[in-house]
Amino acid sequence: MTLLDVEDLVISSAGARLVDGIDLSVRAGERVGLIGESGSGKSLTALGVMQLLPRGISSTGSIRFEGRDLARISERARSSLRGRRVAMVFQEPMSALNPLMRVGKQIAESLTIHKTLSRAEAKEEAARLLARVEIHDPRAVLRAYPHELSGGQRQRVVLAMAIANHPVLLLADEPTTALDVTVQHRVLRLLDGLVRAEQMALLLISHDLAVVSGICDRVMVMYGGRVVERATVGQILAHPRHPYTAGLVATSASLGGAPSAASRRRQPLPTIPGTAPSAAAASRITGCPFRARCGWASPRCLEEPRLETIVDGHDVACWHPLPAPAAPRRAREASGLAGRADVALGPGLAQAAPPVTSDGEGAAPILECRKLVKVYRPELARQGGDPPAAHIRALDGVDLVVLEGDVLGIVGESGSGKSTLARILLALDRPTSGEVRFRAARIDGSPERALRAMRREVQVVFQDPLGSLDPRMRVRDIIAEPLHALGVEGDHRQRVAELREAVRLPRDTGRRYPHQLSGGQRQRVAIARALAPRPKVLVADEAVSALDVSVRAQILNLLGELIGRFALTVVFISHDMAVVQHLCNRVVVLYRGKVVEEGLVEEVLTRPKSSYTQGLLAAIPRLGKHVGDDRSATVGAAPSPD
Amino acid sequence: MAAASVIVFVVLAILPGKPAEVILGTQATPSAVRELTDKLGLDKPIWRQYVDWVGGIVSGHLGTSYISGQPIAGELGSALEVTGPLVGLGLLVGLVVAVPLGVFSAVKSRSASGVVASVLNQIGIAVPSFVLGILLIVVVGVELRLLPTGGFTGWSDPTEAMRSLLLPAVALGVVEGAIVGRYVRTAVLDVLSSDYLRTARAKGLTPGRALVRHGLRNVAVPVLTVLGLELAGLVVGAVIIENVFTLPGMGTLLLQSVENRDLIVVEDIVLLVAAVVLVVNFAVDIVYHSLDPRIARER
Repeated sequence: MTLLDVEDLVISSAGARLVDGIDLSVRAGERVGLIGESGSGKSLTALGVMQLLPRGISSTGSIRFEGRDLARISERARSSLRGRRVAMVFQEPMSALNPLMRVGKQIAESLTIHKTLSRAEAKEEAARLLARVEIHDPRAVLRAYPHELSGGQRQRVVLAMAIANHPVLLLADEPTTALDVTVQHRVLRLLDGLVRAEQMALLLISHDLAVVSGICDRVMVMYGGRVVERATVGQILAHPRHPYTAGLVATSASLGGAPSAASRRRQPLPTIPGTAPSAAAASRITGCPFRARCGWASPRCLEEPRLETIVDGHDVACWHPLPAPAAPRRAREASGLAGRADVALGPGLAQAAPPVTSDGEGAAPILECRKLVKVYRPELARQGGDPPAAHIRALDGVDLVVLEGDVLGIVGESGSGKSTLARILLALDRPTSGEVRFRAARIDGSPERALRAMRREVQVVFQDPLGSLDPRMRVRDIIAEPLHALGVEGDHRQRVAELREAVRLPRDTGRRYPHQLSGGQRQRVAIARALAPRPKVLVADEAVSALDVSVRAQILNLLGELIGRFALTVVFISHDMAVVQHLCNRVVVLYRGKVVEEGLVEEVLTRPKSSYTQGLLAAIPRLGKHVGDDRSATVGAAPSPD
Repeated sequence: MAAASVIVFVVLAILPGKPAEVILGTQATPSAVRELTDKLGLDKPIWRQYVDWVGGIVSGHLGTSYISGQPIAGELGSALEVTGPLVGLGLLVGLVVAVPLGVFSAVKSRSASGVVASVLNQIGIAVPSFVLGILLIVVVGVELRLLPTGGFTGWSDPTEAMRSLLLPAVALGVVEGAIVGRYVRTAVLDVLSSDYLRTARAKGLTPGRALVRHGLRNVAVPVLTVLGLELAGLVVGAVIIENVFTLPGMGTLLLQSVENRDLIVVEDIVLLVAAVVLVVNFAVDIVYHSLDPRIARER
């Protein structure tokens, strides 16, 4: 039975068609994934179905849900369906909850909107729901405010509100994107279990193919506000037909795959050249929205391809669909991605991949720290009442040696202390105790004057490129700034041009401001700025975490290339084991301010010694691995608080 | 508070026009002036005057007026009986104007009626309260003869007292309300685009109920800050409005005292206003804590 049947959904804002006429159907009990990068229109599609579009954005088309067109019935009638028959879980659980209302009241409200319950009954039911989403102390959580809960707990609360009235359809928009890997794994498994137990249909929206493939039966791939491919998970993974899908599958497979041997490390990842257009830009493209990035594009692609069925249950919107029996590797070549590797990755990359000093013998330590402790002292409670809150030990005796030529990964989840460690290594923060040395000289607690030499040799790239670039400076001035600040001699203009080419930014970007660039381009600017004073050491703090999947691979390739070309020593901080595995030769695993494991990447990944690392590795979503398949993610692991 | 008292004292002390000269008028002989100056203690060094004044306040004596020779506490008290209710009523009128106006113009911000509300709001901000006061006197008082246009008969007849305060309170409150209304509008617009309001809608609340249940309390937090600040503006506005409506309140007392160089009265009034503002801001802080659990935690 078809539960939801969307036809020709168009979502537009100020004349731009952000979602351009898509069809979508979900049968009872079915689990459908909606895949796309930022700007693809996937979240808007879900909000369009709910008829909860932001102000100023409107939709046309029919949205038949249980036989009624949600777009045509009254707001009152829609309200009575929302939360009762169709429910939604949002991406950011902190902002999705009312900050001024106790959690218990917010859950109870989900119930009392739709049925008459006494306060005590509603509270009882809310506690039962919290237990249902595997919250350990439901009574305490009922009385808490959202800010008093962890990210995982908040998302469980949001989930509890959504399932309160046993809806037949659940829409989940990136429900785990804001969460740590191990927490993500547990929340996904919970979601999977709930959907199966309640026999709900699920529309799961995600940028992560691995997440979707772990839960869903069918997948729809969106690009530029259109659906470009629609098939079962098996079909998509084995035989992607659209070049874009093929690129996504290849990228996800190479990053999320089995631990790579040292020989494969830092080999270029398959990427999709270019970046996805913004929703507004995509609405101006006539013909196939992907053609500018496609190796197969032909004049015919100026005409818009329709979504057509190729084999049973497999639809694709492409004039040049990839041949059917193509193995994934073949598909990758056929998609033209490999053929365009020189465009995506630049020439001479193979030679550029550096000989990795895998054991580090003979190399000198360049950056090291001993018994590093950082204690954050929460303000003492005001007079009377509460005892002073416990001190937070962000770092608890960390020893670390970075050898010259090392590419050291520091892996940890939120609260592991990895960003605190980065700040201390950069001498942006002082340790409570312990010492930090750069080339054998103490840098902790040194006055800023004494650090000038070190500042020139140690540079940093942060996670959020937009936040870390001055919005009122032109790109060329941003790149040149460290040269002025550190008093580097020479022709700055020429140096900026060199750097711009090294990070492959188009010529005209020099004149532009950060907000005019795409996320990937901004991160290239941040990298160029860091490289400007010719540093020996590059500290990258979650440098690729904020980027879309296909762009992430490009930036990783770029980093890999630059490491070889400029003989950089790198401290690469990330929550993402897959990225670290690709780029680094050594890895340190941080957990609650302590090093729980360190060693060569291939050893740590294939034979993890600590139970925490084992849990972390098991939690990584991998293509085609069902979330319920592997129970080891929590067995024996010391899970981070969630 | 202490800083305010010092600033007031110093500024008034260096102001031209010696109190004794003003009190005795233009025909005063120099010896008479000197004698009075002596009597009032104005020949003492300024720090000594300050210590005497503060010492008096701490021990409960506000001093005596230079002019009337009466204890200031009494004069101030009867003035407060007018100004206190006036400001309170003004605040009430302000809220009655601000909340519906702000909410309406935010919710309807994309339709013609919302734009009209916004324009009206801007006009309300632009009109000075005394102009509105005069308008009200002409229309409601003189033409329609509904309410008294000025004067105050005292609280022995509460109905009559309220009637004489009504027009000035409206004149005062509408303007302050228009200003606060803009802040309400911004706060409501923020809330309308918030994720938690979307969640509330996804639960099945209608737009109106979602705003009332989840929005208003969130709106209250930023609006309260502005309200605390605007209260000071309300007191200043009262000074002007009392003169328009010839009310024997603190504003009238203040103006008279300034004209007569009755410095000690001026000083007491300014100190009182400073105290009120402080107390209000403290109260706002306390309400904050009960309104927003996140603030309590940061402390």
